[in-house]
Amino acid sequence: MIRDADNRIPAIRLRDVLLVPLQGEIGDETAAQLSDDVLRLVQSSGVRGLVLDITGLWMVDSHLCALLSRLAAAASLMGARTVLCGMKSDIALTLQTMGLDLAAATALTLEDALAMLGFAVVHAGVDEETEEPFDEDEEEMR
Amino acid sequence: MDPVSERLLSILGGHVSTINARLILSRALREARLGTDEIGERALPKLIPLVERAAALFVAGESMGRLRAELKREIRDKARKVAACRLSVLSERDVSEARLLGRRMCEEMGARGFSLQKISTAVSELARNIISYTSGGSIELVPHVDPPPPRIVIRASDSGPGIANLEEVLSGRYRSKTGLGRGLAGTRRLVDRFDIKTGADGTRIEAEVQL
Repeated sequence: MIRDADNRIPAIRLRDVLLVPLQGEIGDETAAQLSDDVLRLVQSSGVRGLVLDITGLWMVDSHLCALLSRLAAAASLMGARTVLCGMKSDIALTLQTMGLDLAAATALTLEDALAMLGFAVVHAGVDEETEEPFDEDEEEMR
Repeated sequence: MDPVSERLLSILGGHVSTINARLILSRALREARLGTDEIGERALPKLIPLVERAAALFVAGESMGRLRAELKREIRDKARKVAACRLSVLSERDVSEARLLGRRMCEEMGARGFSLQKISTAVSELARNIISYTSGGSIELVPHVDPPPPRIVIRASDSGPGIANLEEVLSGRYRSKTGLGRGLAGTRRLVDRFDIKTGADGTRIEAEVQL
């Protein structure tokens, strides 16, 4: 668990992948701690993949973008492939307009990111036909 | 009933039956995750897009166009009451505070999505530059509603040593050792208007984003 005054970033081990869900406001202290802890974990656990899930970030500026790129580059030097996932469309548009590059592989969703790192999704014993969620809201409005 | 709900119901009432107006409002409230006791002026910008979406199930064509315009006017009226604000930027915490202020002003003015991102990101970049390269400065956010289009002006000022290699920095060729060195160049590309004055007595930047 990585933490400072008002922020905690958990790092979750999932077989040979380290999953880091980023969220909220990431201050410099949290950011430094994050890089430190994640790279240490990559080294000690020998994971082959690192997933940075940014679904919970409301904004990414050039500073944070540089941080994520550096983290991915450092992990890659240690043999762990980084995939960044969960970027919101408005953030993607902003980074693109600003001309900022993210030096990491990207995936739309967490599931896609894990698939890129060799995980296969198997629905065990669930019949996809009956799995359709029933949307109460829509039904009520008709 | 609270005045905001009453106002919205009376606008909707001009286009749909009372019962449907209530249905639309309650759906919007549910989607906004607001209880009936939390509805105040502040909730209006968040609520109106949801009301518009829910209303689209009942209203069509020309009537929907008129309803949209009426709802838009409500947001404008609300946005006119948003006050300018100014924040000293001395530490990294102030950078975070500044971008949250930017986000809140956008929300109060009914701006979402890409424009909210543009404002918050631009504020963050300009504030970050202040703490990275000077001993301190300030960020001012000024909302404008009239004349249209609605927009927010961001003013960043500091009394630092000025930017010696301004041309190189703005061209995007510059690389800083900490970040990408792209903050300022990126901000200029992101906003609708960008003016900068820099010299030995400090730097003043004015950036405008239309909502």
